[in-house]
Amino acid sequence: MPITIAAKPESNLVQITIEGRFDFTCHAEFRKAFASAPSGANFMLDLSGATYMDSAALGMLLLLRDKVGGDVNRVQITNAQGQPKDVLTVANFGQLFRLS
Amino acid sequence: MLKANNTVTPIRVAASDDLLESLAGVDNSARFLFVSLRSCEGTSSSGRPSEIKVAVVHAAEGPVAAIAELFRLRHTLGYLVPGIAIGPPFHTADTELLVRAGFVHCTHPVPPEDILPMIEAASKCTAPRPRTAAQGNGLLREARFTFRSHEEARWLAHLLGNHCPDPARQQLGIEELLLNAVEHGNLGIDNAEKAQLLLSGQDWQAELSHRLEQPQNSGKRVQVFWHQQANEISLSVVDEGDGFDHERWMTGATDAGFAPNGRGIALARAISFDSLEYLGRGNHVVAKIAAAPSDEGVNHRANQTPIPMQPAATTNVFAQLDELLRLNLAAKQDQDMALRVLTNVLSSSQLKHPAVRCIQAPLEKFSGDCLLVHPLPHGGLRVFLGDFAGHGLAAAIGTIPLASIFFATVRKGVPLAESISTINQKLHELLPPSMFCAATILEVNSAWNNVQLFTAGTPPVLINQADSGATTRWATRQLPLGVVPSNQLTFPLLPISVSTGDRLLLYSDGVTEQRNGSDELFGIERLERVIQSLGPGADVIQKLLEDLSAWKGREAASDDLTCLELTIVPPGAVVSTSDSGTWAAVVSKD
Repeated sequence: MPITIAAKPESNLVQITIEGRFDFTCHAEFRKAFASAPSGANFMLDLSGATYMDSAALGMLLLLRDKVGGDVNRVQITNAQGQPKDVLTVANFGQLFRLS
Repeated sequence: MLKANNTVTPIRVAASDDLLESLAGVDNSARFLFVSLRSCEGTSSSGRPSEIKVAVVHAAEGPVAAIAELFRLRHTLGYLVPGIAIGPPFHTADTELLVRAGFVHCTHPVPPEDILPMIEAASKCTAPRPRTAAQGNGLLREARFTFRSHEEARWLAHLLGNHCPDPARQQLGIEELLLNAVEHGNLGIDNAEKAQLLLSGQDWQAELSHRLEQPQNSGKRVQVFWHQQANEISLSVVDEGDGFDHERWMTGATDAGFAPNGRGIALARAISFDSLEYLGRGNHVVAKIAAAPSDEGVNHRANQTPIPMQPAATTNVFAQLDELLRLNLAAKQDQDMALRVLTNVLSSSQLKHPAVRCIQAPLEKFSGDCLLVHPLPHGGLRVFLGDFAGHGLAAAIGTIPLASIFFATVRKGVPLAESISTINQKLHELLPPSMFCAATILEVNSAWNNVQLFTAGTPPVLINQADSGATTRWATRQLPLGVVPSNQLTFPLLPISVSTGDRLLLYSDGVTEQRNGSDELFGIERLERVIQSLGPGADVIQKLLEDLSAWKGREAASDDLTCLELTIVPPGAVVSTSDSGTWAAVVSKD
């Protein structure tokens, strides 16, 4: 589950890309990815390479939501397909994040 | 017959401090001289007490602690003495381990005077083995052995042990590995089977010989490779068996270290080797032992520069072992306590309701899933299937407030949406941000012709209609509970008309997300086919479990699994006589 982090200071955007299984094993790395981000940063989470997502992954998204003070517009989740897309839909996470 | 010399030298016996007084008190003949085990340990090697013949050790805490005591003593004395372990009965395999380590196991309650003859016998029958350390140490550089039987395993362990820096210590571990390779490897006897055979009073040796001669086993061998480099001995043992799930075992994912099985390996790893590693499918084990410098002589070993496996280092290992045992015990007690609280909270759940059939299969001792069923005061029924993020104790802890609120509100007949709102708010206040509870909640009305449904982060409920036979999916797709406060949410309920004989299937995603060997998910379509293929009255849950088991094959379960089938019954067919879950009338099956 390689997690790639690309910070773009000029646009205040932190881009996180997740490949493969997005599950509890990603926890430490994922936390690190957003803990070091500046406090006003926005996040873009690219799930185009994610093949699986479990409830721990949903929990990590909620941590990220906590970090941005619950602001729906500051976390964008893009390109989820297959099982990860189903999981996000079933959990109705469109209410908490911008899904595209 | 000549009378023996009048001045009989007393037999020196080292005993645990708590046994010392009672043992000395019953010895009228002054035949024994009891000394404190601790005082022996404290003695430096130059001024060690002469010729301790037997050690009596308290084994209340299990065999590992007792064996550790014996080895600690052995390090001070320089030789291994026979031991008598006094303590409660253990697993058969533990007793066998004690015997293998040179112990007689004496179970409670035995009056101290009855132990004296055992000490006498032990002092005679086993002459203290002289310390053979470094006798052959360093001479054997490379060797390969092939063997098949128990006797050969014992002989070979003795031979190889004598080429180790600390023979008595390493013989025990090598013997354990070689015997395992025969019993569990080539003969494929698992531990449950072994325990059963031992307990049934069968002749174990005869059984082993019998199995060795069976056609499927007679050609099997164990290979042993020995390779010594400047400062390390590497010992490889390869059998022809199916192996075992060593990764799970070695990472401590199970508590096998404290079950009858695996105790031997844990012990071997802790006291005989510097490292122990299973390879491949688990039929190949490599043990490493730090070797003494090969030019070290026999007689002036004590004057040499320290080498690994010195008493100081090993005392440290024993201290760690004791600490581990203590911590494990404490953790177990805490878990048992938590489990009792949870069991109490969940005891109101009426899973034996005649309209309900269910299964709960947690991954660990604690389930992150919970299943709450309770009738409403004026007829009707409420069901709550919850799935907390994660599994184990951390996930189960949220069940306590959830279940308390659920049962309190259902008994008072609080409307469903209000009850869900209260639970959501409470979980939001209590749980950390990353934790939440996905839930399927439903209520059957008192006329048993309407269901109100709420699903939040769980897969859809399946409903199989009795008259049309059609299966449909129903869901409301709300946010899981505990994520946002209730004042930011609405709790819309989905009304569904039902009639007698309709079957509703509620399940956690542990069912649909079970993988097979090709990494495919079980999925909702397969689940639909299960319920579709069975007529009314058939056991859907049983069939589902069979299908899931066939589906996953050798794959491990990856999540807690919960499933509930609710059959709509005629109103008034089910009457509860008390709150404790006894049911007066059972639904007629026609």
